[in-house]
Amino acid sequence: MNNASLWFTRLYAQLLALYPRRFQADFAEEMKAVFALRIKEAARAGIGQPLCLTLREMGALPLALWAAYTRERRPLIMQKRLVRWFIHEPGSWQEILLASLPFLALCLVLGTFSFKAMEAGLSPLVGLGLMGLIILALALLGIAGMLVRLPRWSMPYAGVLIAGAVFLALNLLGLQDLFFGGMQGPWWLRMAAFELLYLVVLFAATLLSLRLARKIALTSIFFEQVRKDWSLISFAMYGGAFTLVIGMYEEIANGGLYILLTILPFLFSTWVYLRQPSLRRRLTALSLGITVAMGIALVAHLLRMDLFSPAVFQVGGMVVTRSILSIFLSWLLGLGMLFVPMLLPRISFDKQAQVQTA
Amino acid sequence: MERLSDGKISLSNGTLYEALTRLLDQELLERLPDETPEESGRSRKAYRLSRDGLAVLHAEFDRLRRMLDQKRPTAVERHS
Repeated sequence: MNNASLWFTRLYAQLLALYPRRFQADFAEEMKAVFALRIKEAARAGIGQPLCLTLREMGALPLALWAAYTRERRPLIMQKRLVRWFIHEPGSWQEILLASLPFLALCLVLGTFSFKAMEAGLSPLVGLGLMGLIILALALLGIAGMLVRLPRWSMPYAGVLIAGAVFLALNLLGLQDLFFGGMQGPWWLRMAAFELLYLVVLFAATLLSLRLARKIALTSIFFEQVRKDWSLISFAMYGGAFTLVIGMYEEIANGGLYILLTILPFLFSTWVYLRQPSLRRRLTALSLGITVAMGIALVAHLLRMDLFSPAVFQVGGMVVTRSILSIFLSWLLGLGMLFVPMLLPRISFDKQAQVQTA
Repeated sequence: MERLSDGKISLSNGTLYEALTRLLDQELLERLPDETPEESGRSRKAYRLSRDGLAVLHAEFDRLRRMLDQKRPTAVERHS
């Protein structure tokens, strides 16, 4: 290496001191060695080449320094922790636990704390406060799932969010009032029509979310995973169907025990979904989970409040009440939510190139 | 990199290491343990794609391939 090349290498080594300390500790030696090699190669190519190379490095330096300092300010340790806590082997107990938490936490709070608090004569605010805390914790877990690119365990969280948002939107638009208040016709027909509308809007919202996920760098990998395995969306909808099941207990006083029992089918199906490679078994498990959970809700209605529910029609000698029919229609809606994602492989997400006609 | 791309891509050291740190931060790349020093005396640093990195690479490859597959001839191309 001639004197000029040696001088350029020393100058570059001095400039490296401008980088943040941690960056220097990690890469300075390596960068210096690489630069020395490049200078050596440049010197072979021509007499002015080492100078050109050094000038180019100096030109790129401000931007590289800005990027290094910006990165330094980011909570990098937090990012690494997120990865350690929230990315797990497929089918591992950590993945199953994270996926089951929404079912476990909401059922436990609704089934035990708020129920007992009210039974013990405590303020219902205790139950509401606990519920608020659990929802906040679940929201934070959902955000963490998004930050680590929506792994499988985060699907039920996304499902609860989308299903809740769609229900809220339909309510705000006054459609629920329209179907159950202003509209004429048999009650069961209006309920079935509303649930069909809900399913269509939910699927449209899911497609919109997928398009959005594709455009965001952080979640684009998730979009590609859905293209390969559409049952991920079924698993997300399973989270949405869970809110339907919980909604069945809205009118039942002291239904805590039944809500607690609902944990079992949801945990079992989550476990099977995350452990089974077979698509058919996964979907069977999810369908079974919803069916058993709705069955528990049906028993609760029959034992607790069916006496107060108005009869809709009679089948043979059996009176079908409004609450039984409501559970049946919600069960159909839940199954619909699981199976509608089957349409995803038929939908083209790629914009067709515009063919200009002469 | 310059040699691999026939001189079409030329990265400064700063840009290269900025990209490298970003990929390491995102855990798309893994740094392998330092190897024994080469004849030149400097230890060789080696990196490899992580499982996530490989998945992102495949996803990007698929995306680009789909874009190419979807290319339709424009009117000008069809008439020429």
